[in-house]
Amino acid sequence: MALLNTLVLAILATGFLIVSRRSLDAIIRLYALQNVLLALVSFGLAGGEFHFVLAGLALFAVKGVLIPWYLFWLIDRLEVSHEVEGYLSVSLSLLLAGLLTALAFRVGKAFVLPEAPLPQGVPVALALVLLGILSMVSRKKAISQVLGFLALENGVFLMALSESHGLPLFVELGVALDAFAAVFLAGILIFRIKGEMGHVDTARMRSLRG
Amino acid sequence: MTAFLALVLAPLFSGSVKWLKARLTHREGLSPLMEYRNLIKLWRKVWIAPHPTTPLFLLGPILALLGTLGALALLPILPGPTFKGDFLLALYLLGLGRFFPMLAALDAGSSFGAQGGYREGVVTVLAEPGTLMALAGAVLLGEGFSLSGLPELGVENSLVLLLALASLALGLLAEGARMPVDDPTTHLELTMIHEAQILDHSGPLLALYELAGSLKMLFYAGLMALLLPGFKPLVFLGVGVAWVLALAYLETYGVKLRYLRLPDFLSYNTLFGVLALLGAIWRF
Repeated sequence: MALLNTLVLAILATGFLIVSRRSLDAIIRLYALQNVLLALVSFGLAGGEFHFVLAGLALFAVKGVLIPWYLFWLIDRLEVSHEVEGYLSVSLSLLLAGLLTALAFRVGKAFVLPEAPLPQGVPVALALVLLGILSMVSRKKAISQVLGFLALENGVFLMALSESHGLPLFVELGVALDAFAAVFLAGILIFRIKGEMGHVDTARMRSLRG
Repeated sequence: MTAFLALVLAPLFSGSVKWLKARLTHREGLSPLMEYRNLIKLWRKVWIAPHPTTPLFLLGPILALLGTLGALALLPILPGPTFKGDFLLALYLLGLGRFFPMLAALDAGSSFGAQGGYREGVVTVLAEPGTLMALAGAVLLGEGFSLSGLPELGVENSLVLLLALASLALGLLAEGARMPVDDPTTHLELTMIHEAQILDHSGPLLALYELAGSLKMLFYAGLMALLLPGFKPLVFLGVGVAWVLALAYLETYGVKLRYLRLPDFLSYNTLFGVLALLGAIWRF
């Protein structure tokens, strides 16, 4: 259990780093690390059940390897700078992240189901969802917003993992593939934005044209 | 008792960091025991005070050592005095041992000393709240509101204590004038923080500063040892060895942060401290 606690806390720490780091490469690597940690948590909860291990492996393959690799390829092709531009300074976003996490821990107990296998994971999952939302709204570039969405999705996954005794294997696989499809579509969309406007800065997209 | 143990170990600690760093860069390296001889050599030299100085110049190194030793004496690694709220006294004795060196650096009136003292002051101010809150969170979870009643890392309190440990680890890097915060080997005006502060001191005064510097790091290592389960003196040695490894690797492969980026780095320290304290109050 202590090991699982450490893993959960490490996931939270990667969440903080994703909110506060200023380099796209570092954020993508942190996202991959977060997924590896999540896969380890799901192995830890498996307790000999095969479908858990399989779901963990699928998570590791799709979200730990495939999506980061695709994102690296994407920012290579887009030829944008690898720096994340945000509306908030590092310390301010960390402060907000801390407040959101405190909030998640405060209300997290109310969300724990009676037979949750990992009750301490629930507040962390809530915190991850809030941190994902924070990094989606506080950043200017489309790619870093996609990364925020992915972090949010990881929060949902951790929530499912720690609340129920795991979703059925096909649902897990479906969710993992869904995330990949969403990122893939977002990538195509970002290409179109870049082609149309010459930049991927959402702060500069202000007027609606018919 | 603890202070005595730390006093004996401190030169070995900083000596082994230097030795391991040399080995990692494929140099022969001086033996870890060289630090003792270095201190004795410095102690035998004469010291020179710049011309218009007050007794503060002498008081800086002495209080740096005494304050740190006092803080270490309160750590219950070996049996020692304990009372309610002693963690506050320990942290602020350490603070006293940082305040007077800054005054001494200003007292000499050289530009280097003043600049170093002011930079060290900023680092201290940034690192203090996180450390204090992390420790307060851990103390709240234990009994007796004192260092001797600190809880050990277990299943039910692991979230809070791991946050506190992370905060203390970042605090050690800042306090010990170590790599991402400060480069202990540099002598460039733009990059040095702690070194600039003690640049005016020589001979025995410098020896006192060097000793106080490694004692400060052992104080943080001791705090971390108190939070880990096991037989305390052994855990203390284990944490010390772990830090020697971590520091040597960090300083061989890491880079120093720009001075203006320090608030960003140390806001992690504060963040973990705040979360540990909130966690202790709300019992998550």
